[in-house]
Amino acid sequence: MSMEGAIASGEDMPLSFQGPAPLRVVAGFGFWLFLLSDILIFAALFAAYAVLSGETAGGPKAVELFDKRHVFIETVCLLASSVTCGFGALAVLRGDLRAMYLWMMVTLALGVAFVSMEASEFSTMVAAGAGPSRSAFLSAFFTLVGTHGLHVSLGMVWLVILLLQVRSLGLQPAMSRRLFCFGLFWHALDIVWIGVFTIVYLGAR
Amino acid sequence: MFWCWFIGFYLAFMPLYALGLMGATRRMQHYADPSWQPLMLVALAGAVCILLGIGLTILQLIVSIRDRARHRDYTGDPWNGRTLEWSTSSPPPAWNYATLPLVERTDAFWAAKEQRKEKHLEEAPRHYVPIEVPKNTPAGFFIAFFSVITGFALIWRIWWLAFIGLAGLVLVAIVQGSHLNRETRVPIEEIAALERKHARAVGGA
Amino acid sequence: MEHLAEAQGRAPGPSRHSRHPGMSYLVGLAYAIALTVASFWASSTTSVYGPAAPVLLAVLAIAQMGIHLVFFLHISSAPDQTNNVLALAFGIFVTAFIIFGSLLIMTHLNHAMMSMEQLQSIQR
Repeated sequence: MSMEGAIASGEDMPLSFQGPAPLRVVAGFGFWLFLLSDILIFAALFAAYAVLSGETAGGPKAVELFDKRHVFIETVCLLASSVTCGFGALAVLRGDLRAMYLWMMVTLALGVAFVSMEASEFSTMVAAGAGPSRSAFLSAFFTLVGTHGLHVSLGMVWLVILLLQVRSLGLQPAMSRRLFCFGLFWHALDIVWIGVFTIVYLGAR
Repeated sequence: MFWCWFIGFYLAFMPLYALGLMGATRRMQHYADPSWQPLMLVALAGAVCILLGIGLTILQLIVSIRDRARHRDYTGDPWNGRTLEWSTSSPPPAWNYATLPLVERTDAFWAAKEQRKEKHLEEAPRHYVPIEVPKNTPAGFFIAFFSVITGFALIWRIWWLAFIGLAGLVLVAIVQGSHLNRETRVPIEEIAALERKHARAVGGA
Repeated sequence: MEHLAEAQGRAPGPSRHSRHPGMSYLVGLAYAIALTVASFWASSTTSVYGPAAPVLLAVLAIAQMGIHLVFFLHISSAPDQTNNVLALAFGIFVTAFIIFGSLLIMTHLNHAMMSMEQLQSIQR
């Protein structure tokens, strides 16, 4: 196939001839698309929760179950971990390994705090007879908040694996790309959490 | 064949739509309302038409397979296509396009063919660059294998098997992740050789 | 090839070209905490007209999501962020579609169908 003007060079080369974007951009954008599809899963779970939030089957209602102070502390933990993750990403950009480890450890610690608080809330509810099988509202609640908690937990497992890999393989371009993707993941989880605490905990009536 | 299917489909199913709105269900052994009879007969005519179409489809398959050597296409463009996917060889190379085509209008391939017809151009010498493609890896197969085990075990609540599946999955992912050189560069000679071969095949058609 | 490095746009997240890179996270944190506190206040306040409280909560939540996107993910209206904005717009569209559509359909069904008690009362 002969396409005219196929041999340009230098600054006037049309964008489509300059080859694919660098891997850092391609990987980041691709991961962003994946995150949007992940948010679609949460959209479906939000829709289910919104429809079922009133179906308490004579069981405990939302207002009776949720402790706003608890949720506020969880929110602050996750928000702070987002910021420390951002600082970790900046350290990766600078090539500063020690700072990166430090900030990522703090992120991990805050994430662990969040998950353990959520786990304790869940176990209290189950012990009080308000488990996921009590009513449609509770099923939807446990599925939505539980899926978010599962994402956070798996994200932390991923971070640990990444940090171990950086220790053994060094901060190569592929590793820094993955750390950026982790940053995207973590920030997206915080965005989903904003939706969760607003609709589930603050919207309870 | 196409016309038999097309006409037959409308003849068969439009009356059934109307009948459905009048209260007819599927798989009726008999019906009480004699005014439905004419529509049913039209539907029968349509079904016979489709049967004819099926017969012609089978005939076409037989003839195509019988004469396959005579009709074999080597250009990758058997139907004189208008769009860019027909410009590659069949099967296409791993890198799809040797240079990114400059697209300035719809049906870019058709435009290029028209230009070539009008001007009787020789193939201009192309400036190729080495292209990065992913290396072949069995990791996907292993991840799928462990995913099947995990899914099966979760359905039937065989917790120990689910644990094995998940562990295997994570291990394969970590091992694959520690291979940082997962891409290989295709050298210019290989690209140029395949492009020449494709150009000869197209020219000879 | 360095000039081509980000000719086709930047991925979300920090890059070498952000000015005062650390500041954006701290500013974002400040806004986010303010909006979070405001949300918690709004959920239990009586100074807002009753039916408007959920709307206020929604607005605060959307604002905070915007803060996250701008200050943490560095998504902006700059030309090299166009791809990210378009992908995000599509994601938001599908999300809104799913949630709004589900609510619409389920409310309609709720209205159009007999409730469980009515069904049970006509059964023998």
